[in-house]
Amino acid sequence: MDLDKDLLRLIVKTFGTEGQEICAAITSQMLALEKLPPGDPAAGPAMREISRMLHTLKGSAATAGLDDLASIAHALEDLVAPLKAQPDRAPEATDCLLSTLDVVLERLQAHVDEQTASLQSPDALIQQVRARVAAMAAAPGGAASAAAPAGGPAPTAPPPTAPTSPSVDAAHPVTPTPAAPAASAASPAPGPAAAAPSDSPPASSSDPSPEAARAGDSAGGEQSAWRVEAHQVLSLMKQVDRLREVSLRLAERRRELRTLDVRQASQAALQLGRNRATTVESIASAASIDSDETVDIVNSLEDGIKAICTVPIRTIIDPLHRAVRDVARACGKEVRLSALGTELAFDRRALDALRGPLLHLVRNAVDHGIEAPEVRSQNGKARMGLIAIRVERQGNMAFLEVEDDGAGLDVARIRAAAQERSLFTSEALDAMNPLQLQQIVFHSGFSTRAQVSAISGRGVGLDVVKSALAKLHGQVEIQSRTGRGCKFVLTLPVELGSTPALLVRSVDETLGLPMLSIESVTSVRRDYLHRVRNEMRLPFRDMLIPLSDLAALLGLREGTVPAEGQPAVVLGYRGQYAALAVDEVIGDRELPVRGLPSELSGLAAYQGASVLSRGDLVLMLDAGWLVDPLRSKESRPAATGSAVMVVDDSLTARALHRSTLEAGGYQVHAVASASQALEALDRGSYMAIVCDIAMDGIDGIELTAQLRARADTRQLPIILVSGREGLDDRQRGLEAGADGYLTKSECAQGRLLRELQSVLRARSGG
Amino acid sequence: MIVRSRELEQNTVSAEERAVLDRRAERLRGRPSEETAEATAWVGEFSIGDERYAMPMEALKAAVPLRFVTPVPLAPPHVLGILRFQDQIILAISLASLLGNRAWRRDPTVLLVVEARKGKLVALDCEQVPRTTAVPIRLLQQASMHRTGILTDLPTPDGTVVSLIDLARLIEPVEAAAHDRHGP
Repeated sequence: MDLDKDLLRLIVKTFGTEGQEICAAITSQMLALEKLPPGDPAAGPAMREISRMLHTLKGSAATAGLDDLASIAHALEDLVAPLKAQPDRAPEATDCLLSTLDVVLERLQAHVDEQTASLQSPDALIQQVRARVAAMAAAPGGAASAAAPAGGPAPTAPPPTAPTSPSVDAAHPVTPTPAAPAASAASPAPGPAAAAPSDSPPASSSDPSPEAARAGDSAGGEQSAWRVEAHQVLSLMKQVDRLREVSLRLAERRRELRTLDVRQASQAALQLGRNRATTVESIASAASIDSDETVDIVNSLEDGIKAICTVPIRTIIDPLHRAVRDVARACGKEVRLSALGTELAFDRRALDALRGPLLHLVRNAVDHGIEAPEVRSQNGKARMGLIAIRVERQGNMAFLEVEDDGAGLDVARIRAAAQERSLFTSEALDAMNPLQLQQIVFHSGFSTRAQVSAISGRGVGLDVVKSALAKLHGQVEIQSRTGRGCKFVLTLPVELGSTPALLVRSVDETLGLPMLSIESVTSVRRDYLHRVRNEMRLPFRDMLIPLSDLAALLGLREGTVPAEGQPAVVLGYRGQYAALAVDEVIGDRELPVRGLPSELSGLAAYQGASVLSRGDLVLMLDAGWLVDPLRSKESRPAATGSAVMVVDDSLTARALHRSTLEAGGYQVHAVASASQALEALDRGSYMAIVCDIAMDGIDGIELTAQLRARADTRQLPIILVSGREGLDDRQRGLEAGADGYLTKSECAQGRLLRELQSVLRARSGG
Repeated sequence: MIVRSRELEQNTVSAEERAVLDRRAERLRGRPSEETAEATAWVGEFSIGDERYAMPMEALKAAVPLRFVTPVPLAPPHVLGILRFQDQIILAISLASLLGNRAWRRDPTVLLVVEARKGKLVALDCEQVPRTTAVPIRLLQQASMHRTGILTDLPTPDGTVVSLIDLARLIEPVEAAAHDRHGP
């Protein structure tokens, strides 16, 4: 019994996907049909295709035991049947068909979710469809009346209700020719006169059974596709990532073996004996072959998985035609949607996340952007507005542009609405430039609509777009031209698969830079640098681009002028350029990028993280964040000497000291060793140092002594922290020149802030 | 092993010793006391500074070396970094920082990977691998009934009180901060 239930559940779930696809295809065909000029020869075949799909929908629903859907699909078949002979009359049925399909989708989802308790009887809906059929039959044109048998109602009886016998229907006897629908769809389009007698309602009464319809579909090859659960594919993809990591490790081992120099090899030969040395060589050789083969397997698997996990973006753009049509009708506007690049395939997960934002943008463009037809005429524009979606892929980044040829953003209106809704103070709004005022449209609660309508006015919309893009590590930009239209540019990383990266080191952090954004790698020549408004600029091509210290951008140390010969990476991204001084360029790698834990996904600085050959993680930086001029202003390092340096080889101690000091209003730079502290002090100055005593290498007391011996740090306030409670450390620390001394227990009691303030006061003579 | 007959043993045991043995035997023959029969659950107990804390052992998935953490510059102060655990990238958080403590007594060397909520793994720093302690389920239930915040007082069998950590509530501020950064 349970097995039966499980089987039925599986059948319904499978039909859920199929039903959605059929509804989407019918909608798409119907919208295309609506746009065809009268008499277009493509209309007849399109109408027959719609009829065939409705028939499949009916058959599949009945097979899955969903009689309500089968009955509705049957009524829709009756609606469409007369149109096969008169496809030019399709617009008369479009609204009824589309709205009924909406209900079909809702009911379908309810069945899949097993939430059918609240579903009402479909009878009222079926009656509405039949009323439409009757109205069309009675309308001038007479095609329906010619199609319907004299004296009989246009619609036929619904399909069976007993799930155990879906193919038995007194009104729809089974036709023993299962290939009929497929043959009909595949046959050359007959002329209306020829088609009418065989395809119209009388033919409906001789429709094949649902099984026959399904068999016909199978014969057509549509069912040859497999339906696979997303989690199964994602699980497989994870294994590909793991295999990629294993191959990286193998490659690393091979590199390590190759680094053995000849002398070591010959010494090994002497020590191990020639046979053993030969064995080592053969292992190295075999490892090399294995490594190459693993890379091949990974590449093939990755290509295969990508093919499964990616779908053309048209799967989310095609349904927008319907949205544009509906919103335009509701607003009394004429709007056409055009899309370019929809054949490009992207990760299904990214597309799922983009579905909502794109719908918001398109609805918004129709409702707010495109003017009414008469206004457009007055302004010398075509009556019909245009919304153009362009999709482009550059390396690991996807760009989606949603552009309309409407009125553009009305900055004055945005300002007034923001003030009216108390989103900003008058002073704040006065201080904003037009570009900043445009950004208000992304503010939560913003709307220029005074009244709430079915389409807009609730203040929900573009903020949703922005936050959805942020979750995808993407961004959205506005380009508006008054009277000429508005363009939204959505940029997001395409996460699937590996991506080339350049690994660099800043302080002791290894970081990845997206290779696709790297223009060049150079060495800093200080006499070539320019100082513009207190910022360093590097000549690049015919520009002076900002030069920043990557470590300073990431808050790892104070920013200063890069040293002579220091490596610098020039990045270019969406027309913006910036140079980053790094401490070392490690090399390039092909790395799978994974998302950061959700708690960190709001950190715009990172695309994600990758696993290196030894299993450790490396953070992948976001090129957009690195070159963003607004970001660089926000995160510009504080003036030199304004930060406290924490020196501790314990990650957790650094975190706790930082937490305490930042809570006290201090900016903190934390380093893990005395040598890093000395390096940082060579580059800049600090307000004070909080230093652990027990560290590997140079300990805190020795560091204090060294700093007191230097002229530039002789007066630098230093607080030593020790895990030991004895007096020895305190005595030695103070003798070395420390200003203060705390045990970890004293830190636990909250004394660090007070000690720092006390030491700073004493040093300043307060 | 030396085996003696019951008779021989009786002859070599003094009356006083016999009385002690009889009382012990009587106690062992009797029904187990309510205390020893009570169902218990394991908690992991550890210290931060001078405070003692505990967490349900069922939430503890692994203890991994702290050196596996990759720091994340620009992350909030309570974030130690990220690490790879069972093919996931998970967040390592400073437990002391979240609990409002300002220092450990000893620098932590291990991370406890815990399931804070169903399917939600995070790593927390700790001075040492927690010591397991059996606590009557009755006391845990009482503690959970009186729970109002992240910590709840939990009496232990040795007569002391430890602070039982509600892991789901512990990470709520971390998730809320992330939500704030995302915006609504």
